[in-house]
Order: sequence, then C-alpha cells, then structure tokens
Amino acid sequence: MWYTGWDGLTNRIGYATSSYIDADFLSIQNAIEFADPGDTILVHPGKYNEKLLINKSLTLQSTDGWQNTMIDPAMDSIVRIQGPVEVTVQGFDITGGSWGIHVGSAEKKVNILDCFIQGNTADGIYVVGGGTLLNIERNIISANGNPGGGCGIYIEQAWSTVNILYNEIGVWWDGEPEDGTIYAGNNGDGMRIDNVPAGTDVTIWRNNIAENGDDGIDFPSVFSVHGSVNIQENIIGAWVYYYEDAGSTRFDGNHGDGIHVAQVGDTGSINIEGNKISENARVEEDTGIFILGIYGAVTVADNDIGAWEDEHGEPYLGNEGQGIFVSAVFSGGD
Amino acid sequence: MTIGADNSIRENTGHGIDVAYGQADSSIEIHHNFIDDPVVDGCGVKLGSGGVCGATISNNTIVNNYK
Repeated sequence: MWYTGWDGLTNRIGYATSSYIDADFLSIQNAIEFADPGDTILVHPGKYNEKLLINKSLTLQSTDGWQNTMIDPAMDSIVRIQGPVEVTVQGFDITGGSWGIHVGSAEKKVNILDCFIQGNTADGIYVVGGGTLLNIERNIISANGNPGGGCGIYIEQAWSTVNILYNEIGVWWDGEPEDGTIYAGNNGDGMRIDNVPAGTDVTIWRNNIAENGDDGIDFPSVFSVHGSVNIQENIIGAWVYYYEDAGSTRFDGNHGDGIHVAQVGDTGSINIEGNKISENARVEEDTGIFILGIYGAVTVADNDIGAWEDEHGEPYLGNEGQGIFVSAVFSGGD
Repeated sequence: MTIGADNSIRENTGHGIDVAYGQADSSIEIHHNFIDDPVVDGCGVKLGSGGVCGATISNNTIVNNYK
C-alpha cells in the first residue's frame, strides 16, 4: 500500500509505508508509476497541482475525503484512466481542468466514488471508451462546462453495466445559508448517455439533478436505448435542501427536458418509475419527459410529473410544456 | 408503451400527456393516473395530431383541464 503526502508548504512530500517497502514520492503520478497492479494508493490532505494518468489497475483514494484533498492541474483533463484496467478513484476534489475525469478505451471496471467534480471547462466526467462495469456513486458534479456546453456526466460509448447512484448532479450548496458557496449547475445536460446497445444495462437511481443548462437526463441518439434503462427514484428538477437547525436552499429545474430520449429501439426498454420531475424546461420550453420514437418497451409509473409538495409542505411547480410528450410509437412498440 | 399506474401529472403548462403518432399494431396504454393541468389550451390527454392506433385510456382521473 502506497501513500502520497503533502507537507503543507511548497513541495509535495510523499512517503510509502508497507511491510516490504518504504519510499518517498514527489507526486501522486509518481506513486502511480511506482505501484504494482492491484495496489491501493492513499493520498493525504493537500492541493495537488498535477494531472494524472492511470493506466494500470489500482485504487486511488484520499485519506480525508474530497473536502481536504484537491487535484487542480489548471490544464487539460485531470484524471485520465486508460487501458484494460480496473480502477477506483475515491474522495477527491477535482477542479480546474478541461474534463474532470476522462475515461479512455477498453476499461474492465471503473469506480468513481465520493468525489467533488466542479469547475472544469468541459464535462465533469467524460467516458469516451467502452467497458464492462462503470459505477458512479455519491459524487457531487457541479459547475462544469462553459457557455458552449459541458455535461455533468457524458458517456459516449457502450458499457455492459452502468450504475449512476446517489449523486448530486447540477447546482449544489456547500454550507449553511450565511457562509456557504453555491455551485451552479453544469452548462450542458446533467447526464448524457449516447449508446446503450442490446444486452447492456443502465441504472440511474436516487440522484438529485437540478439547474443544469440543458436536459436533466439525455439519451440523444438513435443508438441510445437498445438495452435496458432504469430511471428510478430520482429528483429531476426543483428540490429544497433543508439544514439541520433552520433554513433551506431551493434549487430550480433543469433548463431543457427533465428526461429526453431520442429512441427506444426494438430490443430496448426503459422504465421511468418513482421520480419527481418538476420545474424543468423553464428556459427552453420543452417537457417533463420527452420520447421521440418508441420501437421497444416503455413504462412510466408512480412518478410526480409537474407540481408536488415535499414533506415540509414546500410546493413545486409544473414543467414548462407537456408533462409527457411522445412523438411516435411504432409497430411493435409496447 | 405504458403510462401508469399512479403517475401524478399536475400543473404543467402544456398537455398532461401528448402522444402525437401511434402506428398500427403499436400498444399504448394510459391507465390509473391523476392528471390536472389547469392551463389554458392544455388537454389532460391529447392523442393523434399524427394519428394514433391501438391506444387504451382507462381508469384515469383527469380534472381541471381546459380542452
């Protein structure tokens, strides 16, 4: 097990402890290059001005969470994962690059957990390559992109299984009402998934997705949904964060559709269940749920689409435009 | 396509549910939903600006709509 540390002054001071080696590292990247496949690298608190290339199977984990461990290269993508590897990245504040995390080609398994990915100029997480298992869990993904776009999560190629669970995607507030900092939504979609081929599964569960510049969840391509997609128990649009003592902060809907699906192919299925979808499309005048073409199976059940009230009695408004708009259901569509 | 059961579709500014086109042999079921979109020119359920075949609308509560 390797450790990379920070002396709090001007130079990174790394050190390693294990039963078989003791070494210093000048950077996280230095530790990555020295590690053997399967190792875990623990990173101590600090600000690390470097970009990372992870091209071997390993776990990169902060010891004190993203609140105390920042990676800020001020250039290029920050954490680049590449090759037929199994990688876990956990507990970092990732900011200041183009893509926050860039997942390249042919990965076996990638876990992105408990990170704060904010203020990057392109997508927060950009997955250009396909792979076997992609887990994106418990992250905060805010204020990425620029006025030309930039999604919170953009998955371009196919994975056998994708799980997107318990994330805050879009606007987020990091403190109490008096002294907190608010982070805007992402400039493009909250999440965009281009390619779900037959035999693959995507689960989107219990995320909060608000104030993004385009759709909350977007499957924009005719290749998007030929596998199985489950969108369950998310808040897509307006919601209120309640503080422990008193007070609250209200977040608005996404600017485009709450959920946008270009096509459900004849082998595809999409289940939209138990979501709160409100106050979306206030800028672009779209819909709560928009599905352009259906050749496969679509189920929409047990959702609040439009106005609802939370457990504190806070009212939420409807979506701008239709609650649900389906352009075409074709022969065989079910 | 099945819309239901138990969707609450309320106070959207357009139609509650709008299906523009349903081809022959397609299946469209809309059942057991609550739809309340009290906006001028909005329907609770609108079907067929392009023609819809095979739609079943049953056991929904559709109130307070303008068309």
